[in-house]
Amino acid sequence: MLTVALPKGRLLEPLGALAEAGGLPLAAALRAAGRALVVEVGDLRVLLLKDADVPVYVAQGVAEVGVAGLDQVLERNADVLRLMRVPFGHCRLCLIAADGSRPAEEGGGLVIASKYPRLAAELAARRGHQATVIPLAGSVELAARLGLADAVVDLVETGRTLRENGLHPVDEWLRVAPYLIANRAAFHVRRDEIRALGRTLGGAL
Amino acid sequence: MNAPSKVPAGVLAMVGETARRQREAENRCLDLLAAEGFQQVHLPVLEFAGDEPGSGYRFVDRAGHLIALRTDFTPLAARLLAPCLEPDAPPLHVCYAGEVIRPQPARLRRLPELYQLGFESYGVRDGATRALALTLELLRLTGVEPAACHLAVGVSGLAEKVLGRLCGGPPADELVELLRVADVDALGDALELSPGRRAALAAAVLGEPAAGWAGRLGVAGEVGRVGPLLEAARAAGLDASFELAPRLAGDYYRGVVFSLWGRHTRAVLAGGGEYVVTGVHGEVPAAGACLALGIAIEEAA
Repeated sequence: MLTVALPKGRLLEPLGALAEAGGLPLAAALRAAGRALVVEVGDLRVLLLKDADVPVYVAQGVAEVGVAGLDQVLERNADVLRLMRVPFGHCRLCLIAADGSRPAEEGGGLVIASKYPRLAAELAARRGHQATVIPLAGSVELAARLGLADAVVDLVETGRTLRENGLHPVDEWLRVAPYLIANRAAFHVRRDEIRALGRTLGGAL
Repeated sequence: MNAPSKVPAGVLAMVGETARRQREAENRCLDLLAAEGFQQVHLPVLEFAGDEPGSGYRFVDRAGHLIALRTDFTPLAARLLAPCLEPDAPPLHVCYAGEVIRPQPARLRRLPELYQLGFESYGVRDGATRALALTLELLRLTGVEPAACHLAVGVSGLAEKVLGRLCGGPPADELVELLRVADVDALGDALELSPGRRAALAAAVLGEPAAGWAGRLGVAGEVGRVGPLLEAARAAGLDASFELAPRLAGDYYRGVVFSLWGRHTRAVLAGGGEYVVTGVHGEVPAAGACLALGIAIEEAA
Protein backbone atom coordinates (compact mmCIF):
# COMPACT_ATOMS: atom_id res chain seq x y z
CA MET A 1 0.00 0.00 0.00
CA LEU A 2 1.38 3.37 -1.06
CA THR A 3 1.07 6.18 1.49
CA VAL A 4 0.16 9.55 -0.01
CA ALA A 5 0.25 12.85 1.89
CA LEU A 6 -2.30 15.39 0.68
CA PRO A 7 -2.89 18.97 1.81
CA LYS A 8 -6.20 19.65 3.58
CA GLY A 9 -6.37 23.17 2.15
CA ARG A 10 -7.82 24.55 -1.04
CA LEU A 11 -5.96 22.05 -3.25
CA LEU A 12 -7.79 19.04 -1.88
CA GLU A 13 -11.05 19.43 -3.76
CA PRO A 14 -9.52 19.86 -7.23
CA LEU A 15 -7.09 17.04 -6.43
CA GLY A 16 -10.03 14.78 -5.66
CA ALA A 17 -11.65 15.73 -8.97
CA LEU A 18 -8.39 15.17 -10.85
CA ALA A 19 -7.98 11.72 -9.32
CA GLU A 20 -11.61 10.85 -10.11
CA ALA A 21 -11.00 11.79 -13.74
CA GLY A 22 -8.06 9.38 -13.70
CA GLY A 23 -10.19 6.56 -12.33
CA LEU A 24 -9.29 6.84 -8.63
CA PRO A 25 -12.38 7.43 -6.44
CA LEU A 26 -10.59 9.86 -4.14
CA ALA A 27 -13.27 12.56 -3.95
CA ALA A 28 -15.91 10.03 -2.97
CA ALA A 29 -13.65 8.49 -0.35
CA LEU A 30 -12.89 11.89 1.15
CA ARG A 31 -16.57 12.76 1.35
CA ALA A 32 -17.31 9.46 3.07
CA ALA A 33 -14.41 9.86 5.46
CA GLY A 34 -15.82 12.92 7.24
CA ARG A 35 -13.18 14.27 9.62
CA ALA A 36 -10.87 11.27 9.45
CA LEU A 37 -7.23 12.15 8.78
CA VAL A 38 -6.29 8.78 7.30
CA VAL A 39 -8.37 7.43 4.42
CA GLU A 40 -7.89 4.27 2.38
CA VAL A 41 -8.67 4.47 -1.32
CA GLY A 42 -7.93 1.34 -3.31
CA ASP A 43 -4.25 0.57 -2.82
CA LEU A 44 -3.54 4.00 -1.36
CA ARG A 45 -3.42 5.17 2.23
CA VAL A 46 -4.11 8.91 2.13
CA LEU A 47 -2.89 11.17 4.95
CA LEU A 48 -4.66 14.52 5.20
CA LEU A 49 -2.21 17.08 6.53
CA LYS A 50 -1.66 20.79 6.92
CA ASP A 51 -0.21 22.06 3.65
CA ALA A 52 3.11 22.95 5.25
CA ASP A 53 3.51 19.47 6.75
CA VAL A 54 3.21 17.49 3.52
CA PRO A 55 6.88 17.95 2.47
CA VAL A 56 8.03 16.92 5.94
CA TYR A 57 6.08 13.64 5.92
CA VAL A 58 7.37 12.83 2.45
CA ALA A 59 10.98 13.81 3.09
CA GLN A 60 11.07 11.65 6.22
CA GLY A 61 9.53 8.68 4.42
CA VAL A 62 6.33 8.43 6.46
CA ALA A 63 4.55 9.01 3.16
CA GLU A 64 6.09 7.81 -0.08
CA VAL A 65 4.52 10.58 -2.13
CA GLY A 66 2.48 13.73 -1.65
CA VAL A 67 1.17 16.86 -3.26
CA ALA A 68 2.66 20.12 -2.01
CA GLY A 69 3.19 23.62 -3.28
CA LEU A 70 6.68 24.58 -4.34
CA ASP A 71 6.52 27.32 -1.70
CA GLN A 72 6.09 24.75 1.08
CA VAL A 73 8.74 22.41 -0.32
CA LEU A 74 11.32 25.19 -0.45
CA GLU A 75 10.33 26.74 2.86
CA ARG A 76 10.73 23.35 4.57
CA ASN A 77 13.98 22.75 2.66
CA ALA A 78 12.64 19.25 2.04
CA ASP A 79 14.87 16.86 0.12
CA VAL A 80 12.18 15.37 -2.11
CA LEU A 81 11.82 14.66 -5.80
CA ARG A 82 9.50 17.00 -7.70
CA LEU A 83 8.08 14.57 -10.23
CA MET A 84 5.44 16.68 -11.93
CA ARG A 85 3.43 19.85 -11.65
CA VAL A 86 -0.25 19.52 -10.87
CA PRO A 87 -2.31 21.45 -13.43
CA PHE A 88 -4.02 23.94 -11.08
CA GLY A 89 -3.26 26.17 -8.12
CA HIS A 90 -0.48 28.04 -9.91
CA CYS A 91 0.41 31.42 -8.43
CA ARG A 92 3.35 33.76 -7.72
CA LEU A 93 5.40 34.48 -4.62
CA CYS A 94 5.81 38.23 -4.68
CA LEU A 95 7.40 41.08 -2.80
CA ILE A 96 4.41 43.21 -1.84
CA ALA A 97 4.25 46.77 -0.54
CA ALA A 98 1.64 49.33 0.43
CA ASP A 99 0.39 51.49 -2.42
CA GLY A 100 2.68 54.47 -2.92
CA SER A 101 5.70 52.62 -1.52
CA ARG A 102 8.59 51.15 -3.56
CA PRO A 103 10.70 49.65 -0.77
CA ALA A 104 13.01 47.58 -2.94
CA GLU A 105 14.22 50.70 -4.74
CA GLU A 106 14.91 52.81 -1.68
CA GLY A 107 18.23 51.19 -0.79
CA GLY A 108 19.45 50.22 2.67
CA GLY A 109 18.04 47.37 4.70
CA LEU A 110 14.69 45.85 3.90
CA VAL A 111 12.37 44.59 6.62
CA ILE A 112 10.14 41.84 5.25
CA ALA A 113 7.26 40.05 6.96
CA SER A 114 6.37 36.62 5.65
CA LYS A 115 4.84 33.25 6.32
CA TYR A 116 7.91 31.95 4.47
CA PRO A 117 10.82 33.27 6.54
CA ARG A 118 13.43 30.90 5.15
CA LEU A 119 12.42 31.27 1.54
CA ALA A 120 11.95 35.05 1.80
CA ALA A 121 15.43 35.47 3.27
CA GLU A 122 16.99 33.29 0.56
CA LEU A 123 15.21 35.00 -2.32
CA ALA A 124 15.96 38.46 -0.90
CA ALA A 125 19.65 37.60 -0.63
CA ARG A 126 19.68 36.33 -4.23
CA ARG A 127 18.39 39.72 -5.31
CA GLY A 128 20.99 41.58 -3.31
CA HIS A 129 18.68 42.86 -0.59
CA GLN A 130 20.01 43.08 2.94
CA ALA A 131 16.81 41.81 4.49
CA THR A 132 15.55 41.25 8.00
CA VAL A 133 12.66 38.81 7.93
CA ILE A 134 9.85 38.87 10.50
CA PRO A 135 8.08 35.48 10.57
CA LEU A 136 4.30 35.74 10.73
CA ALA A 137 1.63 33.05 10.82
CA GLY A 138 -1.03 34.78 8.72
CA SER A 139 -2.68 38.00 7.53
CA VAL A 140 0.71 39.25 6.41
CA GLU A 141 -0.92 42.01 4.35
CA LEU A 142 -1.44 43.95 7.56
CA ALA A 143 2.29 44.02 8.22
CA ALA A 144 2.92 46.29 5.25
CA ARG A 145 -0.21 48.37 5.80
CA LEU A 146 0.50 49.05 9.46
CA GLY A 147 4.25 49.52 9.21
CA LEU A 148 5.46 46.34 10.89
CA ALA A 149 7.57 45.76 7.78
CA ASP A 150 8.63 47.64 4.66
CA ALA A 151 7.15 44.87 2.56
CA VAL A 152 5.74 41.38 2.77
CA VAL A 153 6.50 38.26 0.77
CA ASP A 154 3.43 36.20 0.06
CA LEU A 155 1.53 34.29 -2.60
CA VAL A 156 -0.44 36.24 -5.17
CA GLU A 157 -3.03 34.48 -7.28
CA THR A 158 -5.31 37.13 -8.78
CA GLY A 159 -4.11 40.19 -6.83
CA ARG A 160 -7.63 40.96 -5.63
CA THR A 161 -6.81 40.65 -1.90
CA LEU A 162 -3.88 43.00 -2.39
CA ARG A 163 -5.95 45.61 -4.15
CA GLU A 164 -8.65 45.47 -1.48
CA ASN A 165 -6.02 46.07 1.18
CA GLY A 166 -4.19 48.94 -0.50
CA LEU A 167 -1.20 46.84 -1.53
CA HIS A 168 0.54 46.02 -4.78
CA PRO A 169 3.13 43.47 -5.95
CA VAL A 170 6.52 45.13 -6.35
CA ASP A 171 8.37 42.17 -7.81
CA GLU A 172 7.69 38.52 -8.65
CA TRP A 173 10.20 36.35 -6.82
CA LEU A 174 9.05 32.82 -7.59
CA ARG A 175 6.49 31.02 -9.74
CA VAL A 176 4.69 28.55 -7.51
CA ALA A 177 2.83 25.42 -8.50
CA PRO A 178 1.72 22.33 -6.62
CA TYR A 179 3.89 19.29 -7.35
CA LEU A 180 3.58 15.57 -7.00
CA ILE A 181 6.57 15.02 -4.74
CA ALA A 182 8.23 11.74 -3.81
CA ASN A 183 10.54 10.49 -1.13
CA ARG A 184 13.92 9.86 -2.73
CA ALA A 185 14.29 6.35 -1.33
CA ALA A 186 10.69 5.43 -2.02
CA PHE A 187 11.13 6.44 -5.64
CA HIS A 188 13.94 3.89 -5.91
CA VAL A 189 12.12 0.99 -4.33
CA ARG A 190 8.49 1.71 -5.37
CA ARG A 191 9.00 3.48 -8.66
CA ASP A 192 6.28 1.70 -10.65
CA GLU A 193 3.52 2.41 -8.13
CA ILE A 194 4.54 6.05 -7.85
CA ARG A 195 4.62 6.51 -11.60
CA ALA A 196 1.19 4.89 -11.87
CA LEU A 197 -0.18 7.40 -9.38
CA GLY A 198 1.37 10.23 -11.40
CA ARG A 199 -0.38 8.99 -14.52
CA THR A 200 -3.67 8.82 -12.61
CA LEU A 201 -3.18 12.50 -11.80
CA GLY A 202 -2.77 13.29 -15.47
CA GLY A 203 1.01 13.31 -15.71
CA ALA A 204 3.23 11.68 -18.29
CA LEU A 205 5.25 9.72 -15.75
CA MET B 1 18.48 -1.72 22.34
CA ASN B 2 19.88 1.69 21.59
CA ALA B 3 20.79 3.58 24.70
CA PRO B 4 18.95 6.92 24.74
CA SER B 5 22.09 8.48 26.13
CA LYS B 6 22.60 12.19 26.50
CA VAL B 7 25.35 12.60 23.94
CA PRO B 8 25.85 15.31 21.32
CA ALA B 9 24.15 14.98 17.97
CA GLY B 10 26.11 12.90 15.53
CA VAL B 11 27.61 10.29 17.79
CA LEU B 12 26.45 6.81 18.46
CA ALA B 13 25.96 4.74 21.59
CA MET B 14 25.14 1.04 21.28
CA VAL B 15 24.68 -1.52 24.00
CA GLY B 16 23.43 -5.07 24.43
CA GLU B 17 22.26 -7.11 21.49
CA THR B 18 22.65 -4.26 19.00
CA ALA B 19 26.32 -3.88 19.85
CA ARG B 20 26.91 -7.63 19.75
CA ARG B 21 25.24 -8.13 16.38
CA GLN B 22 27.05 -5.21 14.85
CA ARG B 23 30.44 -6.39 16.11
CA GLU B 24 29.82 -9.92 14.78
CA ALA B 25 28.77 -8.58 11.38
CA GLU B 26 31.79 -6.31 11.32
CA ASN B 27 34.11 -9.23 12.06
CA ARG B 28 32.59 -11.37 9.31
CA CYS B 29 32.97 -8.54 6.79
CA LEU B 30 36.55 -7.72 7.76
CA ASP B 31 37.46 -11.43 7.56
CA LEU B 32 36.10 -11.57 4.02
CA LEU B 33 37.99 -8.43 3.01
CA ALA B 34 41.20 -9.83 4.51
CA ALA B 35 40.70 -13.04 2.53
CA GLU B 36 40.30 -10.90 -0.60
CA GLY B 37 43.67 -9.22 0.04
CA PHE B 38 42.58 -6.01 1.75
CA GLN B 39 44.84 -4.67 4.49
CA GLN B 40 43.02 -3.24 7.44
CA VAL B 41 43.90 0.36 8.26
CA HIS B 42 43.06 2.35 11.35
CA LEU B 43 42.22 5.92 10.45
CA PRO B 44 42.25 8.86 12.85
CA VAL B 45 39.03 10.43 14.02
CA LEU B 46 40.56 13.92 13.71
CA GLU B 47 41.98 15.57 10.62
CA PHE B 48 43.01 19.03 9.52
CA ALA B 49 40.04 20.86 8.12
CA GLY B 50 40.22 22.18 4.58
CA ASP B 51 39.22 25.65 3.46
CA GLU B 52 35.90 24.49 2.09
CA PRO B 53 32.92 24.69 4.45
CA GLY B 54 32.34 21.34 6.11
CA SER B 55 29.22 19.71 7.43
CA GLY B 56 30.89 18.22 10.47
CA TYR B 57 32.16 19.41 13.82
CA ARG B 58 35.17 21.76 13.65
CA PHE B 59 37.30 23.35 16.31
CA VAL B 60 40.67 25.03 16.80
CA ASP B 61 43.38 23.04 18.57
CA ARG B 62 45.91 24.45 21.05
CA ALA B 63 48.32 25.32 18.22
CA GLY B 64 45.65 27.27 16.34
CA HIS B 65 45.02 24.66 13.63
CA LEU B 66 41.48 24.19 12.38
CA ILE B 67 40.59 20.56 13.11
CA ALA B 68 37.63 18.53 11.87
CA LEU B 69 36.09 15.32 13.17
CA ARG B 70 35.90 12.83 10.31
CA THR B 71 32.63 12.68 8.37
CA ASP B 72 33.81 10.32 5.61
CA PHE B 73 36.52 7.66 5.31
CA THR B 74 37.28 7.69 1.58
CA PRO B 75 38.93 11.13 1.21
CA LEU B 76 40.68 10.74 4.55
CA ALA B 77 42.20 7.40 3.52
CA ALA B 78 43.19 8.84 0.15
CA ARG B 79 44.96 11.81 1.72
CA LEU B 80 46.86 9.64 4.18
CA LEU B 81 47.86 7.01 1.63
CA ALA B 82 48.63 9.37 -1.28
CA PRO B 83 52.37 9.51 -0.50
CA CYS B 84 52.51 5.69 -0.88
CA LEU B 85 50.73 5.63 -4.24
CA GLU B 86 52.52 5.49 -7.60
CA PRO B 87 50.69 5.49 -10.94
CA ASP B 88 52.39 2.29 -12.17
CA ALA B 89 52.68 0.45 -8.85
CA PRO B 90 50.67 -2.72 -8.13
CA PRO B 91 47.22 -2.06 -6.72
CA LEU B 92 46.88 -1.36 -3.02
CA HIS B 93 43.75 -2.61 -1.25
CA VAL B 94 42.71 -1.34 2.18
CA CYS B 95 39.66 -1.69 4.41
CA TYR B 96 38.44 -0.03 7.58
CA ALA B 97 35.57 0.21 10.02
CA GLY B 98 34.55 2.89 12.46
CA GLU B 99 32.36 5.82 13.27
CA VAL B 100 31.88 8.89 11.18
CA ILE B 101 30.55 11.89 13.02
CA ARG B 102 27.77 13.82 11.35
CA PRO B 103 25.89 16.36 13.43
CA GLN B 104 22.88 16.19 11.13
CA PRO B 105 22.29 12.53 10.32
CA ALA B 106 20.13 11.87 7.27
CA ARG B 107 17.73 9.63 9.16
CA LEU B 108 15.52 10.77 11.98
CA ARG B 109 13.96 8.53 14.60
CA ARG B 110 16.03 5.50 13.70
CA LEU B 111 19.66 4.46 13.95
CA PRO B 112 21.59 7.04 11.91
CA GLU B 113 24.17 6.27 9.28
CA LEU B 114 27.18 6.65 11.53
CA TYR B 115 29.10 3.38 11.67
CA GLN B 116 30.74 2.53 8.39
CA LEU B 117 32.68 -0.41 7.04
CA GLY B 118 34.38 0.03 3.73
CA PHE B 119 37.19 -0.74 1.39
CA GLU B 120 39.28 1.11 -1.20
CA SER B 121 41.39 -0.20 -4.08
CA TYR B 122 44.08 2.13 -5.41
CA GLY B 123 45.65 1.58 -8.81
CA VAL B 124 42.65 -0.10 -10.44
CA ARG B 125 40.82 1.25 -13.47
CA ASP B 126 37.06 0.85 -13.98
CA GLY B 127 36.84 -0.63 -10.51
CA ALA B 128 33.15 -0.06 -9.89
CA THR B 129 31.98 -3.49 -11.08
CA ARG B 130 34.38 -5.28 -8.74
CA ALA B 131 33.51 -2.88 -5.92
CA LEU B 132 29.80 -3.58 -6.40
CA ALA B 133 30.33 -7.35 -6.39
CA LEU B 134 32.30 -7.12 -3.18
CA THR B 135 29.71 -4.81 -1.62
CA LEU B 136 26.99 -7.36 -2.35
CA GLU B 137 29.07 -10.07 -0.67
CA LEU B 138 29.50 -7.86 2.39
CA LEU B 139 25.77 -7.12 2.51
CA ARG B 140 25.07 -10.87 2.47
CA LEU B 141 27.31 -11.22 5.51
CA THR B 142 25.15 -8.69 7.37
CA GLY B 143 22.05 -10.73 6.50
CA VAL B 144 20.80 -8.60 3.58
CA GLU B 145 19.91 -10.50 0.42
CA PRO B 146 20.92 -8.37 -2.59
CA ALA B 147 17.74 -9.36 -4.41
CA ALA B 148 15.83 -7.43 -1.76
CA CYS B 149 17.71 -4.20 -2.56
CA HIS B 150 17.41 -1.64 -5.28
CA LEU B 151 20.62 -0.73 -7.09
CA ALA B 152 20.94 2.80 -8.48
CA VAL B 153 23.85 3.35 -10.84
CA GLY B 154 25.08 6.64 -12.22
CA VAL B 155 28.07 8.51 -13.56
CA SER B 156 29.49 11.40 -11.58
CA GLY B 157 29.22 14.72 -13.37
CA LEU B 158 26.71 13.43 -15.90
CA ALA B 159 23.96 15.79 -14.74
CA GLU B 160 26.24 18.76 -15.43
CA LYS B 161 27.20 17.33 -18.81
CA VAL B 162 23.60 16.78 -19.89
CA LEU B 163 22.63 20.29 -18.82
CA GLY B 164 25.71 21.72 -20.53
CA ARG B 165 24.58 20.16 -23.79
CA LEU B 166 21.03 21.40 -23.34
CA CYS B 167 21.96 24.98 -22.50
CA GLY B 168 25.14 25.28 -24.58
CA GLY B 169 27.54 26.10 -21.78
CA PRO B 170 28.36 25.41 -18.15
CA PRO B 171 25.04 25.08 -16.30
CA ALA B 172 24.15 27.30 -13.37
CA ASP B 173 24.01 25.64 -9.97
CA GLU B 174 20.27 26.26 -9.85
CA LEU B 175 19.76 24.16 -12.98
CA VAL B 176 21.84 21.30 -11.57
CA GLU B 177 19.75 21.38 -8.42
CA LEU B 178 16.56 21.24 -10.49
CA LEU B 179 17.86 18.07 -12.12
CA ARG B 180 18.82 16.56 -8.76
CA VAL B 181 15.22 17.01 -7.57
CA ALA B 182 13.86 15.66 -10.87
CA ASP B 183 12.00 18.89 -11.69
CA VAL B 184 11.78 18.38 -15.45
CA ASP B 185 8.84 20.80 -15.70
CA ALA B 186 10.90 23.69 -14.33
CA LEU B 187 13.97 22.69 -16.36
CA GLY B 188 11.91 22.50 -19.52
CA ASP B 189 10.63 26.02 -18.91
CA ALA B 190 14.01 27.44 -17.91
CA LEU B 191 15.81 25.96 -20.93
CA GLU B 192 12.86 26.28 -23.32
CA LEU B 193 13.31 22.64 -24.30
CA SER B 194 11.61 21.15 -27.34
CA PRO B 195 8.97 18.50 -26.57
CA GLY B 196 11.37 15.79 -27.75
CA ARG B 197 14.21 16.88 -25.50
CA ARG B 198 11.85 17.39 -22.59
CA ALA B 199 10.55 13.85 -23.04
CA ALA B 200 14.10 12.49 -23.25
CA LEU B 201 15.08 14.32 -20.08
CA ALA B 202 11.97 13.03 -18.30
CA ALA B 203 12.77 9.47 -19.38
CA ALA B 204 16.30 9.84 -18.04
CA VAL B 205 15.14 11.24 -14.71
CA LEU B 206 12.54 8.50 -14.33
CA GLY B 207 15.18 5.81 -14.82
CA GLU B 208 13.90 4.42 -18.11
CA PRO B 209 16.25 2.34 -20.29
CA ALA B 210 19.07 4.50 -21.64
CA ALA B 211 18.48 3.48 -25.24
CA GLY B 212 15.47 5.77 -25.28
CA TRP B 213 17.18 8.96 -24.14
CA ALA B 214 20.98 8.82 -23.90
CA GLY B 215 21.59 9.46 -27.60
CA ARG B 216 19.07 12.25 -27.75
CA LEU B 217 20.75 13.96 -24.80
CA GLY B 218 24.20 13.43 -26.30
CA VAL B 219 25.59 11.25 -23.52
CA ALA B 220 25.36 7.75 -24.98
CA GLY B 221 29.09 7.19 -24.49
CA GLU B 222 29.10 8.12 -20.81
CA VAL B 223 25.93 6.16 -20.06
CA GLY B 224 27.30 3.17 -21.97
CA ARG B 225 30.01 2.83 -19.31
CA VAL B 226 27.49 1.53 -16.80
CA GLY B 227 25.91 -0.97 -19.17
CA PRO B 228 28.03 -3.97 -18.15
CA LEU B 229 27.53 -3.21 -14.48
CA LEU B 230 23.76 -2.92 -14.85
CA GLU B 231 23.62 -6.12 -16.87
CA ALA B 232 25.67 -8.01 -14.30
CA ALA B 233 23.51 -6.70 -11.50
CA ARG B 234 20.27 -7.67 -13.20
CA ALA B 235 21.69 -11.08 -14.02
CA ALA B 236 22.36 -11.49 -10.30
CA GLY B 237 18.70 -10.82 -9.56
CA LEU B 238 19.03 -7.19 -8.51
CA ASP B 239 16.38 -4.63 -9.29
CA ALA B 240 18.53 -1.93 -10.89
CA SER B 241 18.07 1.45 -12.54
CA PHE B 242 20.15 4.25 -13.92
CA GLU B 243 20.23 7.45 -11.88
CA LEU B 244 20.97 10.56 -13.91
CA ALA B 245 21.72 12.90 -11.03
CA PRO B 246 22.56 10.97 -7.86
CA ARG B 247 23.12 12.80 -4.60
CA LEU B 248 26.65 11.59 -3.95
CA ALA B 249 28.07 11.07 -0.51
CA GLY B 250 31.20 12.91 -1.62
CA ASP B 251 32.22 15.26 -4.43
CA TYR B 252 35.40 13.26 -5.08
CA TYR B 253 33.82 10.61 -7.32
CA ARG B 254 35.00 10.56 -10.94
CA GLY B 255 33.30 7.84 -12.92
CA VAL B 256 30.72 5.17 -12.23
CA VAL B 257 28.95 5.43 -8.88
CA PHE B 258 26.36 3.21 -7.25
CA SER B 259 24.12 3.02 -4.22
CA LEU B 260 22.11 0.16 -2.76
CA TRP B 261 18.79 1.05 -1.15
CA GLY B 262 16.96 -1.08 1.39
CA ARG B 263 13.27 -1.75 0.83
CA HIS B 264 12.53 -2.01 4.55
CA THR B 265 14.66 0.83 5.91
CA ARG B 266 14.29 2.98 2.76
CA ALA B 267 17.82 4.15 3.31
CA VAL B 268 21.15 3.77 1.57
CA LEU B 269 22.68 0.53 2.81
CA ALA B 270 25.90 0.94 0.85
CA GLY B 271 27.41 3.09 -1.81
CA GLY B 272 30.61 3.58 -3.71
CA GLY B 273 32.25 4.22 -7.02
CA GLU B 274 35.32 5.30 -8.91
CA TYR B 275 37.55 8.25 -8.13
CA VAL B 276 41.10 9.48 -8.63
CA VAL B 277 43.80 10.05 -6.02
CA THR B 278 46.63 12.49 -6.67
CA GLY B 279 49.75 10.56 -5.68
CA VAL B 280 53.34 11.82 -5.49
CA HIS B 281 54.07 11.12 -9.16
CA GLY B 282 50.67 11.51 -10.72
CA GLU B 283 47.06 10.50 -10.61
CA VAL B 284 46.08 7.03 -9.46
CA PRO B 285 42.66 5.58 -10.37
CA ALA B 286 40.76 4.12 -7.44
CA ALA B 287 37.45 2.61 -6.48
CA GLY B 288 35.79 1.77 -3.21
CA ALA B 289 32.57 1.35 -1.34
CA CYS B 290 31.21 1.63 2.12
CA LEU B 291 28.41 -0.03 4.09
CA ALA B 292 26.27 1.77 6.63
CA LEU B 293 26.63 -1.21 8.91
CA GLY B 294 23.91 -0.41 11.42
CA ILE B 295 21.35 0.28 8.72
CA ALA B 296 22.25 -2.90 6.86
CA ILE B 297 21.70 -4.91 10.03
CA GLU B 298 18.38 -3.13 10.59
CA GLU B 299 17.39 -3.96 7.01
CA ALA B 300 18.23 -7.62 7.56
CA ALA B 301 16.16 -7.73 10.74
